[in-house]
Amino acid sequence: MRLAVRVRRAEGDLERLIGLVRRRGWHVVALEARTTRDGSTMTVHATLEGDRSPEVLVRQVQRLIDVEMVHVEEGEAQVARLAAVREV
Amino acid sequence: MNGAGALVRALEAEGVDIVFGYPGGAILPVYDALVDSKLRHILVRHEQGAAFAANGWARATGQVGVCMATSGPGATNLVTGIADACADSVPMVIITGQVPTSLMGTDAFQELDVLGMTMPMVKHGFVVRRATEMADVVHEAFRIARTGRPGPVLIDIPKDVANSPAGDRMQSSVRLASAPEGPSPPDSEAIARGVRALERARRPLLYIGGGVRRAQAIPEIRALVETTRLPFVSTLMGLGTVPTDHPLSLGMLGMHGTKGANYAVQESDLLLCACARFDDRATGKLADFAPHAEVIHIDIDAAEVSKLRRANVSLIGDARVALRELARPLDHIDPWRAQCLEWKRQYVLDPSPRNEKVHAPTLLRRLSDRAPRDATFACDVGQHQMWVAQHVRFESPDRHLTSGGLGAMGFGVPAAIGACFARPGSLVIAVTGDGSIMMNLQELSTIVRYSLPVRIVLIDNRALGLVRQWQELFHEERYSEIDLSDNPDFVRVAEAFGIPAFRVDRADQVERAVERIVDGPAPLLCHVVVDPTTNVWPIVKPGAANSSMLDHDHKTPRPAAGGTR
Repeated sequence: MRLAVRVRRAEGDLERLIGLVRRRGWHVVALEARTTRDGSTMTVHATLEGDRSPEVLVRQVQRLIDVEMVHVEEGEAQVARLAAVREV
Repeated sequence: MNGAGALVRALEAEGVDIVFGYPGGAILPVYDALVDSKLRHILVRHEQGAAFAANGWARATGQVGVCMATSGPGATNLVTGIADACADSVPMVIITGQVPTSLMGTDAFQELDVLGMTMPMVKHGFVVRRATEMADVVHEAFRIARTGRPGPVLIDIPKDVANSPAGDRMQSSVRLASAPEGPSPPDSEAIARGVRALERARRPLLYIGGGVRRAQAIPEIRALVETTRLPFVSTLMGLGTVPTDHPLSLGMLGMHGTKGANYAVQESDLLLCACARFDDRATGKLADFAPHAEVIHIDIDAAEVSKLRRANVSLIGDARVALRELARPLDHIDPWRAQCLEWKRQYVLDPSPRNEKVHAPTLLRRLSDRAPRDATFACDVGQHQMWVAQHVRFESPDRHLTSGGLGAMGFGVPAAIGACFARPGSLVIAVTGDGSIMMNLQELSTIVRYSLPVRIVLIDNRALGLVRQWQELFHEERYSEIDLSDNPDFVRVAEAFGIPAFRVDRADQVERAVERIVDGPAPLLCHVVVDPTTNVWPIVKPGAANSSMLDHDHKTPRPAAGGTR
């Protein structure tokens, strides 16, 4: 799964994100982080491996105070499929 | 004004009037500013006591609890109390001193990366890098701690920042004082689907968690119970949200839940989960939990919904709105309701004593009967905690202070201290064990220092009882490191701290003891010597299905024939 996250810059921001990903059972395979020119935000692209629900991870990342936006770049089909399961 | 002064002013602007803490080198500027402040500082005897006392105060009041400590070891000692607040969604602001900015990252004396260390157990953490930002950081920390799903927020303050000029932010800090943001209502289309699911269900059950009180939705859930007449089960944290002696209450579910509660869950075809999180102690083996049920999940925290059990209807947002909208009469569930109440009647928890020794559940039940209805019970962790959950009547969840998610021994006594400051004049009983009390024994000094009328009921089985029980039942009686028979004489220990104490070791002494605990002068410690072989029943083996719960005869009882399917 490839995750794109936009983070408001604050002390510990990247560590909070990566720490959460590890604690929630995911493994970082590749990581790219870039601060925007004005220094206010950072964009993170992370390729992750794991067998847990990407949808749940996205919600857990969203919960971080610094995170402005998160979406799944690859593996959306899996997320959409999970979201549709058994909704009545 | 310096950064420390700005911190104190901002705390005052937030309405804080009590802070639990312990001073040290890096936080000296803050303690200096406290001298000129109207904030009341409570000096504990160990930083863990400060974190648990602030935590207990926050649980009792529903407001943001504040504790502070110095850098390094001061901060590490706070950690258990912070983690406990995180696990049970308790709003707290934790202030730690830090070594000066120039020394951070140099392995300085009493230096630790507190921001990094606490990341897994806080909602958010700040390092204040400029004194001029102090007021804004404090207000933001309070806003985060109390909004949405509450939780702990760390503010780490380097000593040079605390000493630097902060400008005159007095006026603005008052203006900026954080106003709580209201939650948004759940999706109306999802609510409509929830209503239809409830109408369709033949065996619906309400599953109440600790989040209902945090959502300030107690009136709404009580109204829902009266309108729908849904039978309900509670988590440990949810007990008292609807009074535990309500006729439709089936009790606590899960590992030490009632058989009635667990059978009802297993047989239900719809679980209305109100702000609970499908914790493993509640669900047992997840795959076998409520196997026939659809799930409607109400929660403020989207990350909890479908985390462990997929919700068929997700109601994310203001629980008050969800509960109001779902409260429609359910006349078609009479047979199911009758079946649930039959299970409740058939499998009532039996507190009757077995012999002349003191039976802790009986004592707790008598204490519950005798204590005023607004009494607060602060528990430690172990068998006594489960007996309190099973046998004490609660009319409000904030009268039951218990370490639910973290299960932290040592919580009870300092949490009771916090409750005494939160509810002066109200009866506060700390129920603890001989293992647990030794984890924060030093706080008996805090009780004496502030003349706090805590009643400590120390249930002593000279062992780590719950561990012993697991070893007996699940490890072929291979007892390993659970023997505490060399405990000190707790009556003499309490008296040495200056707390009057007495011992109860026979069943015929219980009535008099209960009278003395409730009506006698306090502080007081009642040392209750119990039979070390007494276990908590029923019990579900860890990792097993709730339907396989064991009773005192070690057999799995069978539910009475349902006939309501």
